[in-house]
Amino acid sequence: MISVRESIRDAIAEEMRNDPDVFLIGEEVAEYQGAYKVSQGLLEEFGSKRVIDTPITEAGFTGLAVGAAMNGLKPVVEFMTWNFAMQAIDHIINSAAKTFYMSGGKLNIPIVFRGPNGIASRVAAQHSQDFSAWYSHVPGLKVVAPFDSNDAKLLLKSSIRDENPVVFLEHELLYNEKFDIDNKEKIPNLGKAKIIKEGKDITIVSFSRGLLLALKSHEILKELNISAEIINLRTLKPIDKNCIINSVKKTGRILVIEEGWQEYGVGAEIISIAVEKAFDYLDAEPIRISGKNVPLPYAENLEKAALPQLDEVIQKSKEICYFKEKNQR
Amino acid sequence: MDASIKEHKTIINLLGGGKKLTARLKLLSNENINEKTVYSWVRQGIPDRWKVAVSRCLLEDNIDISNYKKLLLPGLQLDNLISANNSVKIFSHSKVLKSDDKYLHNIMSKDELIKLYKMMLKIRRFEEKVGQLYSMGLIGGFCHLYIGQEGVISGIEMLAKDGDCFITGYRCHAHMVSRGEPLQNIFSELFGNEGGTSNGKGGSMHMFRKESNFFGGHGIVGAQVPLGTGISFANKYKNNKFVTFTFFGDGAVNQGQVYEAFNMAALWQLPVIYIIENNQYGMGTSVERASAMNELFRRGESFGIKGYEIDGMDPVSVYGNLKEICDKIREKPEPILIEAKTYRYRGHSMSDPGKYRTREEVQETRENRDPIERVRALLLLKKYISEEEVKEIDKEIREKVSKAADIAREMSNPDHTELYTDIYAGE
Repeated sequence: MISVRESIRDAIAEEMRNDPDVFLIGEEVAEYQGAYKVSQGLLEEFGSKRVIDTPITEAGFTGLAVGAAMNGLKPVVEFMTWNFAMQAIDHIINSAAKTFYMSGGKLNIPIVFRGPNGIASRVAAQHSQDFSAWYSHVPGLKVVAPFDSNDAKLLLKSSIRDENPVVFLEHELLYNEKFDIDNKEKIPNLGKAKIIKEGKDITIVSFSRGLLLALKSHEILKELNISAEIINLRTLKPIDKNCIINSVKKTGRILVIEEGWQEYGVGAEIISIAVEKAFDYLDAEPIRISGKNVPLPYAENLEKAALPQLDEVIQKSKEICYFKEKNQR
Repeated sequence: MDASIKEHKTIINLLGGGKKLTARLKLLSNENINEKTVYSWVRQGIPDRWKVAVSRCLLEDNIDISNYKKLLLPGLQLDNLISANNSVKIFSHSKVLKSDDKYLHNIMSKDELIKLYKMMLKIRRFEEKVGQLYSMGLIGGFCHLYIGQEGVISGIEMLAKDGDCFITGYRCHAHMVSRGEPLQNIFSELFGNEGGTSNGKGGSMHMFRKESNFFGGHGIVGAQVPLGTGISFANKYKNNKFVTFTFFGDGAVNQGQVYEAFNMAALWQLPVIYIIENNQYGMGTSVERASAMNELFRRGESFGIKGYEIDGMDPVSVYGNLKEICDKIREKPEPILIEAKTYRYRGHSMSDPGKYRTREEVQETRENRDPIERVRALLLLKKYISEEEVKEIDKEIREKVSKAADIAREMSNPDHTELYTDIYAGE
């Protein structure tokens, strides 16, 4: 068992050992050992030339890192949280995502932007936002949202090796979670989802921390004799359409869980895919369980209420599976 | 005579007397101060508004300013003055083209001067043709011409070494030309035809030539400054001796990210030369209306970045001044800020109404400060080329430009499959 936090660190360290052009840059990544202790020990191993503390200057160091990538290096840029990357979003989109296309394929930007995304705990709206949909909208970016330690390690290694700008959305509330590492799995190409529970009655699609809820739901639904198939998207862009379509063709039902806001969200995209490509296979209306359309509040009860609820998942799953109480199918 | 006036008299003498001091203060402040005024200070004391400038003269001469406490204004921080002193104006060594100007005469060889001349002329003729084609409706979108500013990039090209890196904003055609891109490809890109530098996917503002380390061509004002800083970061990381020339305009200097970049460049001593091409107008807003402190070469002072003002209309001066600076930072990396005073004859873009300046202002600059005319005059003066050869060169360049444009115009639009290529690398 290894924590997601350590897996991320290990992935960076292994890639830095493999390739001298890989370096880590961001606020407090070196001497402080990472604001969330992700980069623990990296300064000691690689020195200050390759593990670089920046001033608090997101637009500046993001632009600088993109420039370094243009000139042959492979930066791993840590945002203390993705909320702060709003200061730098111009460079992520205009400078990094679009340059390969605008240069007619002359200039690619091999760079990873990473850090904790989504809600934290009791830090209110400016520090709690899921940017999955924002970045997944942009051609030229790849967007990765790992769930467990295996995802974190393998997908980050794959992201660092990728020749394109990759937005790597970690989750602060998963950093401490420990998971088994599957040593047999090879480093996957980005763009492939993974079925983590096979089922036949309903497809539940989620990513990142939403999968904790999906897995809990799987257990509860199992007791109700509803067999849920759980898809871990892993990569949000490019999205693995086939995995979703094939699963829906099998189960005839789809429910998406995301922590982000519902309107114009990731769930909307996934359900569009299902409706467009597997319309005739759907036996019930598709369902989105999402964060509520409010800035995330501070108070404990309100914060909890703003997030996707287990009850909602179970209730909606039962509904679309035409489940009748005390009358199991 | 009271003590402070006595001290002021001593200071004026220390600085070489009234006449010398007048000249120095003129240079330093850009104000037309009268010699008689300065002489009157011997009797009346130095007025407060001139005390800072006089203090800077003392510092420049390494005179211990703390001995002259009565000169210092209350609240004046000596440390600030010392760092301010890092910014030194270098005035063009060739403000007026004179036959006895030894600096000008000896700094460039005949071949170099001819090469410089041809490069500027090529850029000008290219841009004139672009303007013409744009007016004919053959080029789409925004189109920003470099006419008038040729001396800046050309002077720098003459001192650049293989491996040096370049990046600029959207006014980027000239950089493509100077970096050696075949004209036909640039025309093709402007037409949106196949064979364009970005296969028709970039257009006027987004052009790249990676094989000559030209990293674009960026459409967001100021964004190229952190990018250029990052390019120089990579050079330092790789421990090569290459310098990165990062160009931006007087409009970009008020973007916040410029200063974020300055800070890191100074903090990490990166080998980057920031070149503000001050053509005096950010679109239609003059520097005076946009910048609270409009000595732009001093904008790096709070980071300890040395700044220099140069005459961007004098390419020989651009070359001479920057060569020295570049040689130094190749050995000992540090960021440098250059403000090249220049002028664009055409509008900001092709749709510029031109209401913010007078025709006379443009005409005056064209007639008296044109960089191409300046070098042509020098070539003739030194008898490096004859009037005949001047005509010959012009004819040859015009023909090349026309031919390139004609060929590019005949090319077809990009194949439809181009729409979906180059979104992701490695696929």
